[in-house]
Amino acid sequence: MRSIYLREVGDLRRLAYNLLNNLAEAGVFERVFDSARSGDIGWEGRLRMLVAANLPPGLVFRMEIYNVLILGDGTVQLKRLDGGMITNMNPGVDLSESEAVHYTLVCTRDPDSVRGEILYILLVIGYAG
Amino acid sequence: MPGSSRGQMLVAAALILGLFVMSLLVAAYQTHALFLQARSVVPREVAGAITADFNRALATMLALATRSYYDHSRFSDFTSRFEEYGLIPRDLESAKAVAYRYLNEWIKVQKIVYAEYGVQVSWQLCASPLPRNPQVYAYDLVFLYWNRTLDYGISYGASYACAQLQLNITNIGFYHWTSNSFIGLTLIIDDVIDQEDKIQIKITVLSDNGTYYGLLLVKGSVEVYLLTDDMWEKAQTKDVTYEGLGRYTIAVSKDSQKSAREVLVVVSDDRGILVLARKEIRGRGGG
Repeated sequence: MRSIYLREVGDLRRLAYNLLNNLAEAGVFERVFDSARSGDIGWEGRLRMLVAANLPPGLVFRMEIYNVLILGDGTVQLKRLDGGMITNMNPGVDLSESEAVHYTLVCTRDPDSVRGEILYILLVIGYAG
Repeated sequence: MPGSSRGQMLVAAALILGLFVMSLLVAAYQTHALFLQARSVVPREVAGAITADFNRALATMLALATRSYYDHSRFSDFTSRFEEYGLIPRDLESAKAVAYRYLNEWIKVQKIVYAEYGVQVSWQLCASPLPRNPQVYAYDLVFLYWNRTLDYGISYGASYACAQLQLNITNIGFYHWTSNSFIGLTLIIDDVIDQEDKIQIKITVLSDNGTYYGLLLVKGSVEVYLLTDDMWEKAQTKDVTYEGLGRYTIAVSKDSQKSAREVLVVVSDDRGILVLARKEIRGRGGG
């Protein structure tokens, strides 16, 4: 019989925001975005390793990265950059007691070609169910 | 008596039932409270993330203004993308107009991304005194104060942006969060020493509210120009040493045939914010 207990998933949100803040401070997303735009196919794998290495064992995650485009008429459009590979979940495994956090990032670090672009990052962290 | 014992039974049953209902209510309340505690939206982290991104947006607009004002074409990878916003090279007013529009668009993005939290976000102008120069205030969003000489002959430059973020997260009852963002870079030329084979420049670099900036060698950049024969020429940097507390010593080569009169230092931090300061060169005799 499965034990019944409640994990405090608010901690998962804190963990996710701390992780995203640390990656943003280190200028990771600017480099990732530059790689994605230049057609480098390995960027998702590198980011997956980086995120996995910074999370406690036993947690699974899925990250989606979008470029926020503001069109001439002021409408906001999201253009997905990743191909669904920034995850450590095995196919067929569901997330349980998961939390999703939203994060926006204005690219401020080098290179100049990405400076000023806005990214929207969705990070889902949870336990493999 | 049979009648009174039945009454006692009824009272006892009503009491037991009442206790049972009350314990059920308490259990339900505790479960709800536990659920809320365990599933909280963590307002501190959400507010922190939005504030950090506002600082980044402000820093980017300051970087755009400084880079376009200093040398628009050299940084065209960045500056040219904002020409359709109305950015004009070497025009600070157009850079401010671009910053207004960009920050308003950033607000729109926040409202969309954080819609499920009921985020209400806005910004307004503010003013703040410059580090190490409190008589002068940064105001009107983007403020450049380059190539200035303060009291006691201190050569000083500052690039700053100042705005106040206002935030409510209505779905969790988080209201009236405000944060003054004061973003920028200060450059002070402490001394310029003309030596036999080189010119030594001592500078101090401060970030934002006057925090010592120690990342110049790792993530930033520094360039030195010498004024010789009424022309600015880029000097070849021989060495840059970090001495702690935001202080650096830069050694540049000098042309023995020409005598440089003045030095111009251009510093960029890791966010792309530029600042300039210039100072006359002190002779070898110490005069």
